[in-house]
Amino acid sequence: MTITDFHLESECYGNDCILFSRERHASDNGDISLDKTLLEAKLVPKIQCKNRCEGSACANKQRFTFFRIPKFLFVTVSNDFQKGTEERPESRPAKHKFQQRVRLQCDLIKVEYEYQLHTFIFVTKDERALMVRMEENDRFSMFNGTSNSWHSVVGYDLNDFTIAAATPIVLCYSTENTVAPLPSLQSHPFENETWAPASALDPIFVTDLFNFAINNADELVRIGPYKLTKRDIIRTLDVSHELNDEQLNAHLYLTSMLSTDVILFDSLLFAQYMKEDFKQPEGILQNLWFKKKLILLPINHAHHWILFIVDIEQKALVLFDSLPSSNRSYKIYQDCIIQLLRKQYFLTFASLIKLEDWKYISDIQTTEQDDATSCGIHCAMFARSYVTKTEVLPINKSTIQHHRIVFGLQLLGKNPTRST
Amino acid sequence: MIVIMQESLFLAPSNVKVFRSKPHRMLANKNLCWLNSSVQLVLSNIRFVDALIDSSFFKFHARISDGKMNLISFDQLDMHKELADFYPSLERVNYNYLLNILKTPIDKDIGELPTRTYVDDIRKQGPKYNVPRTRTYLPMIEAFGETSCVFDYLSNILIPSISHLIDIATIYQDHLTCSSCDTVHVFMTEQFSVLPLLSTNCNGMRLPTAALERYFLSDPSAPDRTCMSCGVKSREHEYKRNIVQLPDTFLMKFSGQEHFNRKDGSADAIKCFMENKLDMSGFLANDLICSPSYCKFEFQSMIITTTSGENNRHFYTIAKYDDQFYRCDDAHIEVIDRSFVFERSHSIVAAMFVRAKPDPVNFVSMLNRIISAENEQVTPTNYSMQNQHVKMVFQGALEHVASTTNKLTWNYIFTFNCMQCRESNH
Repeated sequence: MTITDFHLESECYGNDCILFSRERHASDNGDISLDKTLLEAKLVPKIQCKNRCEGSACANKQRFTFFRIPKFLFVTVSNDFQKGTEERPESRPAKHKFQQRVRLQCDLIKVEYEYQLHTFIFVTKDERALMVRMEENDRFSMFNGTSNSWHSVVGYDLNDFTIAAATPIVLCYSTENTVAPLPSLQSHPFENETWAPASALDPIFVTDLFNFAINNADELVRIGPYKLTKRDIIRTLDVSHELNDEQLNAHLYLTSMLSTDVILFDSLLFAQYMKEDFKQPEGILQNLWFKKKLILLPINHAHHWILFIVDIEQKALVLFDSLPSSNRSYKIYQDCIIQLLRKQYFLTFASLIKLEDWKYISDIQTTEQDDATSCGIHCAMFARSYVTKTEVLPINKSTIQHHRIVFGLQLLGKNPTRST
Repeated sequence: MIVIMQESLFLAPSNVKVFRSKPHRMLANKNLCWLNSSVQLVLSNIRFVDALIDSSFFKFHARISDGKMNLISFDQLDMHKELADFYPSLERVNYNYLLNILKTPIDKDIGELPTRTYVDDIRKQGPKYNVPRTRTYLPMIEAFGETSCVFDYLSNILIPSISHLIDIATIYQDHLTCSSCDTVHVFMTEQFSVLPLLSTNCNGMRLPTAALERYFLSDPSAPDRTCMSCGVKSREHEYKRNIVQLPDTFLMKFSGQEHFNRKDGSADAIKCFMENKLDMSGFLANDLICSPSYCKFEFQSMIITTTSGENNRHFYTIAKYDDQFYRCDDAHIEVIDRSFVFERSHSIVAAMFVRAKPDPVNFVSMLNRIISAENEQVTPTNYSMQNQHVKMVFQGALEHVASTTNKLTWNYIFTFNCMQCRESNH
């Protein structure tokens, strides 16, 4: 399938909370169709194409996917007895309505999510709001707001609660996995045999060039969306200086400019995505990854820079860590990037990505970082090597000063090539 | 510093400052009954007076100097000049005028000069009518000394300013249930600060329930609509109009005609009885989960009109202070019996109800407890305490809590080709 097969004219995003109804949405065995609730109740009113045509009746080739599912969901159960119906509570036990688990199904993308009963909430006739949890052996515990703790209540059954309730009862269900299950990518060794050998640069020449460039640079250097002052660039030469977001992002931006097939998904955008998810998807999904070949994703993990590279051509997710440690796990970032990958693929091809074909590369054999501050330089240099398909020069305590000058020089837009 | 004696100001047991005084006297004999009755209507609302005095807008702090003496002290300078600049000029004018009334001793009226200045200011800053085919604009409010429309003043000038301090928004939705695919569509959502009700055919009945029933009754003559989901146009569509949010202070105006005229829109020919208690549960959306007291309101005040001749309409207010009813007729304040209020029929123009028992449940704190870990301390969320809807209605609390966390929301994307555009492009 090529990109031109689909010409997607419009898309809409949603970040919605839904209150399901036991009577309107659920079947007797606790199955709830997401098509009937989420799609129709929340999505259909939002459908509006770029020319402001409204209504799903005018839309075709619809594709739909979830980015994230909620940890908690709520199902209301109407209180028939309170509404004055003839039915006595004994004839229709409350237990029948209190499903221990509900299963949400989406026909469009053929997935199912299962939730377990967590608590239920109702308001009594004397205007007390009660929160009750079902324990083992049909026992209950009730939350006491004054002591901020749960207390077990003895001698009650579900019918007692339904009789006491003056409003419909809200059942609260929860699940553990709030992202759609992701297949773990197959680990694969790093292959760079075809890369060109690196050529070392003459340190004196590089230093002279940097001095010349910095003296002739403007006080404020604009690099794409990033702004650095001369002082910011000079600070990168200090071996005890840890690169900040602006400095590393600016360098990676220049690296991405070396080819039209490379995109930078910068550290600030990634942090925003981690924090806010897709509340503002327009910024996060601005560029279509699958129309490019490489995506650079720098991430600052507890004052340590790591770099993920999404290699679209090779179908690989590459992790570069200059200080690998078995104690640190980057699974959370890996999952987030795979989620992003799924969404980007969906946006481009309107179908689900086959992650089984993708590989995960993390054992990159480069010189291990031997100080506490040069992780950013390592990442910047590796990114440039990966984009230019050139081998990485060793970076250690004796050469770090030279690499920092090269880094500064590259920030100033110079790309020294003369070797020793 | 000016020190003014108030009739009865006390500290409620919960240490919440509460003003309880008699109604304020207003300037008489200047054709100002439209203004006087409206102001007396809103100032009977304790919640509003409290919110006004506590607002940071004023360099004005009511303080208890002595619990027994019931003294309120005012700073000489009333407005924060810097803060006042952030407010629209009309609101500034309104707040300043109301503040001047509150500062005036209870046994005196505000005086002619401040009232004349106020009327001039709202003519200048307030809404205006365009004279057709000219570029001339006439102020909605007539000049000082002439009668203006009480509806114009209430709806366009006074109430919009109040809405920033207390919760007065009633929201209702028009639903359509498709007979083919069972999808429920919300066709229209409307929000009112003052609910415009018709009292036609309500003669001798109890307001506001009789007028509310007519307003929220489904309309069988509504036109057919096409379902947005399945595209079918059906006569069996079911229309419903339901309230989805009730305010803390419920304001409504009554008109005898379909369209409100400037000077002749009131329902003076229709005489109805006023209800002391109002239960809105019958007009709420069926699936709204709220505590029963959310929809129970109590009478607070109303404006009544009397007519003696075509151009001789008069308005006065009946207001409740501390379970005592007062007839406020410009400068004349008189204690009346509750039987006069509820057992006699009046030509009612506007009414104000307040929630009888606010704050019995708090769904927000419950939801926060659910989404927090077992032993985690729940931090109280920052939400407007003025709006009880967030706390007392489960759906309101859910929307509020969902905006602060991603544990309650579905995050999805939907892509489609628009057939309609494609056809027109073709």
